[in-house]
Amino acid sequence: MKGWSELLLLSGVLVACWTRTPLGALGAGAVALARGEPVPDLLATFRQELPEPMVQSLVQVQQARPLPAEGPLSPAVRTAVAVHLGEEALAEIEALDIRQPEEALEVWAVGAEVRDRAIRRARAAGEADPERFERHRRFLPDAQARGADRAVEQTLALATVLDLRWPVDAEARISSPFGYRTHPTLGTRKLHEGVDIALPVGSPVQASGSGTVLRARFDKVNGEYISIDHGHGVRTSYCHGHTLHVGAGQAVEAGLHIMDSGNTGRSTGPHLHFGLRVGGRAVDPMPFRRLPQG
Amino acid sequence: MRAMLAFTDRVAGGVARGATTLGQCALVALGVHLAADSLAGRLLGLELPLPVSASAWAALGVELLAIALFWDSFVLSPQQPRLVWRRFRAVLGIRALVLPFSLSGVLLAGSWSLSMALEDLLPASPWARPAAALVGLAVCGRFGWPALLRALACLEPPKRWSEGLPAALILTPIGLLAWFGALPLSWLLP
Repeated sequence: MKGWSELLLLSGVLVACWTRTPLGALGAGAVALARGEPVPDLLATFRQELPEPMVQSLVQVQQARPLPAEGPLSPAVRTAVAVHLGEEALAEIEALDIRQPEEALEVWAVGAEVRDRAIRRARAAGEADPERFERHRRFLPDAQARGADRAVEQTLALATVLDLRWPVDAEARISSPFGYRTHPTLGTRKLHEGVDIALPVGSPVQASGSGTVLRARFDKVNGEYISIDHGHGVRTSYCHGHTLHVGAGQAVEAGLHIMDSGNTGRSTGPHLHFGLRVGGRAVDPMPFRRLPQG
Repeated sequence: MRAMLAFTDRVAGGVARGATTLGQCALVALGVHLAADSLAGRLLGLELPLPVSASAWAALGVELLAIALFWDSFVLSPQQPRLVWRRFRAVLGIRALVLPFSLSGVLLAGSWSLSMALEDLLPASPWARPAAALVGLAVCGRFGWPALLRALACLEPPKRWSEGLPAALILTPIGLLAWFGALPLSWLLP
C-alpha cells in the first residue's frame, strides 16, 4: 500500500513537472525532435509578449468600422472584441452583462469559478491588486491562461489603442514617419520606432490616454521625455520635450497637458517624437490618428 | 534462494532510491519555476529597454542555473542522512546559511504548485482544495523534507569565507521569490 501511494505521488510530481515547467518543455522538445514533430515553446510557461495574431488584429482594427455604444461595453472594447474574437464572441460576452470589460472577457474565456480561484491564489501569494488579470494570470491553469491572454490582454490592448488620441494638433506635419530610415544624426539605417511631428518649441503636448507615468526625465538621446503605461501592455512615449509637467508614478487622464515640446537630446530641430508600443512591440501610431474617439 | 532474494531486494531498493531522487528533483524544478515566473514578472516591471521576451529568457536562464545548483546539493548525498546539529555548526558558512532557506522555500513552492495543478484537475467541490492541499503536504513530507535533509548532510566545512558566494547570488533571490513571491504566505509580509 505504501509503495503504491508513493508511486502515485511520484507520478503526480513528474506529470506536473513535465507539463508546468520549461524543464518539462525541454524534455517534450527532445521527444518531439526525435519524432520529427514541432518543438513546443520553451517559454510557454512564462508570461510573454503579444503573439503574431495580435499584430494582425492591430492591422484589422485600424480598418474596422467602429461599433456604436450598446450594452455594458464601450465602443472601443466592442470593436476590439468583434475584430479579435469575432461577432459571436461579442454577443456571448455582452450576454454575461458584466460591466467591467476585463472581468467580462475573462469570465467568458475561463469561467467565473476558475477566475475566482486564481484571484484567491494571487491574494494568498501576497499580490497587490489580485483582481487584475495580469496579477493573477499565473495562477490560472496553463492552457486556460493562454486562452485568457487572447481574450483579455490582447483584446483590451486593442481597445486601449483604439481609445488613444493624438497628443498634439492632428494637422501638425509629420516630419519623419515610422519605419526603417537612415538616422539623421548617426547616419546608420535603423527602425524609427515612432513618428516625428514638427512643432515649434513650447507647443503643448497632451497624454494620449489615461494611465500612469512610468518615466519623466532627461537623457542624452531622448532629451526631456515622458513614458506612459496605459495598461494591457500599451505604452506611449513623448521625446525631445522642453518642459515636463508631470512626474514618474503620477496618474494622468487623456488630454492632460503633460509637457511642452522642444528640441532636446539627439535632435536636429524642434519636434515631438511620439512612440507607441503594444506588448513590447513598436507599432506605427499613424493609422490611429484620425479614428473617431470612443 | 537466499542470494536470489538478496539480489531482488537490492534491485528493488535501487529502483526505490532512484524514484525518490527523481521525485525530489522534479519537486525542486516545480518550485524553482514558480519562483522564476515571479522573477520574470518583476523584471518586466523594471521597464528595461529590451524586448518583453528578454525578461522570460533571463528568468529561464536563472531557473535552469538554480535547478542545477539545487540538484547538485543533494543528488549525490546519502538517501536517509541523520541530522546532527553539531556537524551543522562545523560546516557553517555562506552555503550552509543560504541553502536551507532557499531550498525549503523552493520545495514548499513545488508542493504548492502540485496542489494547484491537482485542484485544477478536480471537479469543483468544497473538497477540491483541502484534498489538493493534503496531497501537496504528502508530497512535501515524502520528497521535500528528505531532500532538505540530504542537502544539509552533503554540506562540507568551507575552506574560505567566500566559498559558495557565487551560488548564493543565484539561490538567495530564488529563495526569497519562492518564500515571498510564490507561496501563499502573504500574512508573513510586512
